[in-house]
Amino acid sequence: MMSTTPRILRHALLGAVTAFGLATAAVAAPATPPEQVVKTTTDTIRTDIAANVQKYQADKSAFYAMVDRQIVPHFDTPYIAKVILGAHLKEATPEQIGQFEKAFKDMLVHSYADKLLEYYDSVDIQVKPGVVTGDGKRASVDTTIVRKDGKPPIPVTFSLRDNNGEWKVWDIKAENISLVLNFRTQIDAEIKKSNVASVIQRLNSGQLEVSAETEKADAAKPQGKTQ
Amino acid sequence: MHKGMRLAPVIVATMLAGCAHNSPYEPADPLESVNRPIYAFNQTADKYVLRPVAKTYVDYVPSPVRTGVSNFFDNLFYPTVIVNDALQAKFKQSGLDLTRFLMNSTFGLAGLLDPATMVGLAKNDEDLGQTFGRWGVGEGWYLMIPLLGPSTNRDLIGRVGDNWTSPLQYSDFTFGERVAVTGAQAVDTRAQLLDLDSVLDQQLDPYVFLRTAYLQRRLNLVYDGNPPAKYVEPDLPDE
Repeated sequence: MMSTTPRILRHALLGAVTAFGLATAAVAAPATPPEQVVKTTTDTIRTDIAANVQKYQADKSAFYAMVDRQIVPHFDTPYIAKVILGAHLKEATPEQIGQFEKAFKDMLVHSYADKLLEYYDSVDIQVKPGVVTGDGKRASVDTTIVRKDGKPPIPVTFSLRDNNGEWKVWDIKAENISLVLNFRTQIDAEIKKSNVASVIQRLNSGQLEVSAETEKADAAKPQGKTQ
Repeated sequence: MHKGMRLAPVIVATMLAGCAHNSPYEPADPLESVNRPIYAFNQTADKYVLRPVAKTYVDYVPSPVRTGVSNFFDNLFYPTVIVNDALQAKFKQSGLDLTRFLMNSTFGLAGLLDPATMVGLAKNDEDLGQTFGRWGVGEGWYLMIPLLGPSTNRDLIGRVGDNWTSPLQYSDFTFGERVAVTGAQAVDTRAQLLDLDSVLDQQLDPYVFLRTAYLQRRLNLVYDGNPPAKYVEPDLPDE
């Protein structure tokens, strides 16, 4: 009889701890479902571009600012930077990782700005319900990019991860060809040729940028590079 | 039979057995110093010959006609898919693909139209390189073939083997006629890839990009869209 009370107490305690744990987990689980994050983001930028396309074409910096405001917050850029640095993560200082994150993001935004402004209206994006995997910490959202010119649709998958209670995109795959992991192999090759600091410096100075072989890209880059 | 001919299967089997599995992120590219100049050559050949021809083709030939041409070539070489379905023990898919081929060859006017897709017989993509992969052969080394582009040890052997199922082997075409068909097919394929030029141009190192993209695509095809995670993703940071 004597031992009953402590046992009940123990069960109650255990129950309380479990409940507390579950409650914490419930709080931590992202409130907005992953597919909603993808859909809202893509819808917002397309609406925004449609309204301001002429302004953006004339003033790229306004467009970059919009991208930083509307798109970038939904991407897990610190994590992307770490994935891309890959095996070189250990060689990099925390400051360098931060610098790389910003330099790489800017390089991407600047590279794809023209494409976004050109194609925002020629496609429709169908978003399917997201699938949560890996202890609820990761999710993938399948989408279909339907091209209005009747060409075959492109299946695109967004990979997201739970970052402090918010789903953030860390990779985009077209037919299992991954954008982030593809840059990883390229950056890896560049770092092996020199080092992390040099790659950051070259990304920032525009020396390490997407190669420009098409006529349009050539026109956009009038001066020759130094070095 | 010539002695060398009898030895050939043994040599091929040995070569295939030696093909290692690599992740697209840690590819085996020991011939990179040879592959890169060949890639540069291919890019130049493309820039001055194939790409302008493909662009002209797209500019002057209306879209429905181009679709017909693409359908025709897809159908012409479809026996390769049917045979490789069976070699991969996908017998049901093989039967469906045979039905697709027969339907498009007849009602589809020798393949110009694609009624099979409309009735739910979707196009599949199989070849001998994928069949080897299905049975556990790794891709081996990454190779850049002059004029033909990226390949691997395994896929190159597969490509040679797929000639057995190519209708061109069984036609009485002259060499010139075969070149013409292959050339027309190359223009058709290239025209479909014009949109991707800008993607390739937007890379830090197009050679590395193409290598990763090619290896990822082949992996995706071997596993029919569900490649095992250990090949698809490298070790990811936890935080």
